[in-house]
Amino acid sequence: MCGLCGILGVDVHWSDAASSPHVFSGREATRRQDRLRRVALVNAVLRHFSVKAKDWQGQSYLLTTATGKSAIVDHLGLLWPEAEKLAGKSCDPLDDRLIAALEQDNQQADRADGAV
Amino acid sequence: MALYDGFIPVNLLTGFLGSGKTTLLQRLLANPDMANTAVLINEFGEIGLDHLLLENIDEETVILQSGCVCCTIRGDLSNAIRALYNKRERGDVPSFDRLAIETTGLADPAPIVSTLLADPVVRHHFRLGNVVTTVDGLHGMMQLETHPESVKQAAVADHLIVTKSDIAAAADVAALTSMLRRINPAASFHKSADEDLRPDTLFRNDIYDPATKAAAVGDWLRTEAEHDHGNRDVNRHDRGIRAFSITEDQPLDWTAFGMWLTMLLNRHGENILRVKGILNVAGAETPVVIHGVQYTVHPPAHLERWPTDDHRSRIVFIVHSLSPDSIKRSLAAFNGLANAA
Repeated sequence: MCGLCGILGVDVHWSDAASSPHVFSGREATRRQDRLRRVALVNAVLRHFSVKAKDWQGQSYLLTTATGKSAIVDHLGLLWPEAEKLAGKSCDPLDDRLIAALEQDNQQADRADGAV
Repeated sequence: MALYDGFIPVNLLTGFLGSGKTTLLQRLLANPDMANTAVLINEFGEIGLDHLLLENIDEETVILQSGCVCCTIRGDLSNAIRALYNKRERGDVPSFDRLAIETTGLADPAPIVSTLLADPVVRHHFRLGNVVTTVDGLHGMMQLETHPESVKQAAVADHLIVTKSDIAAAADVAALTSMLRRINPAASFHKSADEDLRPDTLFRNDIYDPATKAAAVGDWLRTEAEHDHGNRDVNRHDRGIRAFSITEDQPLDWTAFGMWLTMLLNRHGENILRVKGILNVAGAETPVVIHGVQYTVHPPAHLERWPTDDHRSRIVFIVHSLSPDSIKRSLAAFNGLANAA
């Protein structure tokens, strides 16, 4: 438990690199940096489902929709089922339309980088 | 401290009804290499332990002459593992350093694998070692064609053992082995008639054992490469099972990869029977090994060095009704977000 805020510790998820520094030796990122980056990447996907994610207290993720629906989840494994409930549709990474949209996002980012 | 230091590895022994699990277990239990192993079985009666029995601890637990602790499973598996661990800690049974679980013939191994990570007590003392699957040399082909459970048992295996190979026709064993290689090209193959089939050969060799993990990863990469001729359908009876590998030239962003795989398993975990990979993670000095069974992904492991000069990420999938092209394209799109975000 955190002595300052009283928040109970949460289970470590396999995707959390900061919990396995010996596995990712040489990779320089703090737990905080990892979380912020994870939120940015998750939002790059969730925006196609009109859902937003925020870091919550450095230990959970807050999901919200434009209509005010929200949910708190502990880790990535729990995030997608909740995002699907909030979005009212499945979040399928094999959906051709989603893949095409992400590829387009990537191309736009590449062009923007090239223009700088 | 390395990941899983002090954890007790758990080996699953699975296989369809009548495929020879019990015969194999009888043979293994008599072996001195089982001395520090505990075994969870369904019924003592089935396995005929009388000639191996050294001591009765209680009605659920016995000690065998080999030193092996043998326990029956009463109730659910996590309770059985907890009870066995309590006996170990109290000194009621020898301090075993490995646990083998024999499943029933119709069991789906995936929930058993998931129990090891889901139960809060079990997951802090035990870890998955490997999955050993027996396949009947006489009837295995028919069972694979008619029983989806047997295909799944073969698909999640790290070691596949064709039993009764000494009494089955050589051509039938060859055809069965060929079929199994298509279902699970990353597994190692044995025949029960092989004299060198020993407990330490079968149960060690996993990706978390410091002494064997490099060899384990090397083995399945080599096996997969030898038998990979691109995407493959298992056969005309396939039920959509397909084994394939993805090679990614660009280093993978771990955060993007974790996001992608959790999202993929959330939607398609039921159809992803097995995923194993050696990854070139951006920023990491050494390769990262991942493995999962259906919805369950085990913590990543690290290798001291690459098994070969090929430093590209390679991921082996055994899936049901999913398109390899779609998975590959999806992974590339998600990995691309790492640069865009």
